[in-house]
Amino acid sequence: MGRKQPASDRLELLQGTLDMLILQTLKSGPRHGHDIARYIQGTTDDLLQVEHGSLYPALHRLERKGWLAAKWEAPRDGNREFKYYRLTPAGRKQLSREESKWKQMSRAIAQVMWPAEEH
Amino acid sequence: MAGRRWLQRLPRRIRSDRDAEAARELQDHLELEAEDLRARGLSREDSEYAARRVLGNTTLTREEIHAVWTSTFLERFVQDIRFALRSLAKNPGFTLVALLTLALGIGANTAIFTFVSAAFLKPLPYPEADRIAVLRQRPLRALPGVPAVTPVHPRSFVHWQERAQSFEALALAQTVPMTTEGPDGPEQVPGLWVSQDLFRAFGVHPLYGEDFSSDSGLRREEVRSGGTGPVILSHGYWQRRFGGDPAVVGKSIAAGRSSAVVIGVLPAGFRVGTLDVDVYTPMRIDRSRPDAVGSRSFLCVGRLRPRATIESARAEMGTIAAQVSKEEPTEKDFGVQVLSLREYLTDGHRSNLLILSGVVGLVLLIACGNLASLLLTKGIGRQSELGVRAALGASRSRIVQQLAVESLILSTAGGALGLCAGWIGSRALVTLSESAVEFGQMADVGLDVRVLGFTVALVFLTTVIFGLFPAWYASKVDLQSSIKLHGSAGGSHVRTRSILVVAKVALAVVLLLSGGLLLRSFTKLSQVKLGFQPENVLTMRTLIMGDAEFRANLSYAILERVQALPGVRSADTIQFLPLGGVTNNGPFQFVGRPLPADRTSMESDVSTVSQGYFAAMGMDLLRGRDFGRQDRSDGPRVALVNQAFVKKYSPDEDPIGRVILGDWANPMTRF
Repeated sequence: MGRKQPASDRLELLQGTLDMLILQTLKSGPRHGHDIARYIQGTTDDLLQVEHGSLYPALHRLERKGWLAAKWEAPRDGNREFKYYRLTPAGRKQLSREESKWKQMSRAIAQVMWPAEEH
Repeated sequence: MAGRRWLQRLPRRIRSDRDAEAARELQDHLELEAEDLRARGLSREDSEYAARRVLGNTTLTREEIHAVWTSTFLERFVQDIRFALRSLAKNPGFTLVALLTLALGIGANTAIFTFVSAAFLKPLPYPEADRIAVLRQRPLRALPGVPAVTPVHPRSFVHWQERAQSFEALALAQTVPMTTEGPDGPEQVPGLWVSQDLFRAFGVHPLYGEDFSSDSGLRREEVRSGGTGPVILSHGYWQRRFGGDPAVVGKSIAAGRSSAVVIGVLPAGFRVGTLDVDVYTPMRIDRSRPDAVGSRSFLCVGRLRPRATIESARAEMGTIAAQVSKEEPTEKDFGVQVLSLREYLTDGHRSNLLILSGVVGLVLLIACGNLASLLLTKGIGRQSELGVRAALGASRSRIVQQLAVESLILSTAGGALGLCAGWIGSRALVTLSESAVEFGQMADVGLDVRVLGFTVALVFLTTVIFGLFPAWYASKVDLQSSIKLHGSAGGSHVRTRSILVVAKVALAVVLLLSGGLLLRSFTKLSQVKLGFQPENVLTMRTLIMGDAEFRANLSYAILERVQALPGVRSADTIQFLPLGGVTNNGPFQFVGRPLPADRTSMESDVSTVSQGYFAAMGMDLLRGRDFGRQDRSDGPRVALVNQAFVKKYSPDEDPIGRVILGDWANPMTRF
């Protein structure tokens, strides 16, 4: 796809994982799109480069599915409005589902990669 | 800010609120990112460029967001429509032929359906119109010269009125021309002579004034006017003559040689079945002398009681008619027929309309067949295109959907054209048949909700018939062969097309044959020898009231004036125009011959004519002399007979000079 300019060290996120990360990010409170991108990059020290172009379609998709609720409001310290996303109860449930799926998968991969001494 | 300029350059086609919101969201992101980068030390310009690079292709992003929110079916549908329109435009020949074929097929059906709708589906303009019945008399045996149903005789009517329990109102009506004063002088307006309960039978009340049902009211008006009595005006006449003046009740209008008082005005749009008259006059039927109003020539209408039905009324009237036939000698051989008003109005037209509907239905089938084979051929020609689409991942249903959309567009456009064609055809048919046929609700034939609904249904039907089937067929794409070869004609395709062709030819032959036969009958009919020459003959109708002498004098005066007009070769009067379906008829006998066993076996149609009739009509006399001045009312009565009469009743002797007795007048001499 010609629009990307991937840097060599940055990992590209699968769409499903991006959804999970977004939901997790919003667990601690509502944020707007740029905030989410900054948080993920910041928390991983820029290792996880969120494709900004795919962030917003993901946000809208989650909003359509009802896992996120969105509202245009101004942050406490400003008067300019941004579109803030927050987690819904259904979103919380989805998050825990994704979480357990991810844990299962990573356990399975780890077993292939680094078989435990017990076996 | 450079960002604001970017916002202004938004492509115009993206207009939804959500889209604008998403654009704003992305714009905010850009600005925030640029701020961040500036905080890290980049220049203003650099930060903006860098931010945009990070965000990537915003147009694509916005389309992706858009795709999240819109339903894919709708998107695909719109896409299909655009594609179909383009492909139709690229093949103008095919599109034109298809549209014309559809317009013809749908148009013909719509035109006929306007008649069907007006005749059978449109509600009649009276309250509870299905409770209105028309009664007629039916000769119990086939009598020569008497039709299968006749109008009603007042003698029967008075008995029916007394005895019938099924009807809450029974009435008689007869058309009479009325001479009155118009803006340019005397004019003749159509009138209706009605018995007391006519308006009650139809459930209509006058807009102003009262109707004829109150006896005292009638008598009062008769005495007051001193003329021909009270009249009720139709809405149209009231508008034309009195300008819609609400104070018309009580005003007088000229009626014949005296005047009449207006006692009421009817609501707009009221007419008695097919009869749309200007003036209504009251009929007083004397029960002891019902013949005084006339003979078997009245329309009889009734309104059923709430709990009666047509069937129950039919049974009851049958019994009553049987009783009456025993009591009244003139009614001896007559039974009764009870029809609902709608049945009466569509009498004789039902089978015609049915046949016509069938015919145009077949035409539509042929049209669909043509279109199906056209589309099939086109589909075969598109095998390579469809093959590419399938290879790219289009599912079969997707391809069928796209082809179906194409058919839908064709049939919708064809349907719209067909609607126009149908309207034009309907108008043309109405004009053509108005003079020949008295159709129940001809005035109401036109495009209405029912016709539109019918056309829409037809459009869907044709789409299904000619669209889906070829679509399903064409989508049977064999990927490999279709891309490699260009336009391969599969074996199964050929067989389907053959079936289609055979079916179409069969239908077309059926239609052509029927059409040809009809045309032939029509041509023959128009070539029937009339026995007179109708070219250059003008006719006028008028009603003259008064005693015999007054009528005779007035007729001659009019005749003389007409004959004096330049361009008139000869003029005459006749009681009933030939071929008009109305004649005077009755039994007769020769004087001096033994009476036949069956008194009714010798009957003849009679027409009263003035001298000069035969000259005016271009008829020749075979023997004897024409009527002349000496045959006026003071001379001996004379008659002329035609060849058929001579052949039937007097084959071996010379009819001239014989005397016959007739029921219709005093004894006449035959000449």
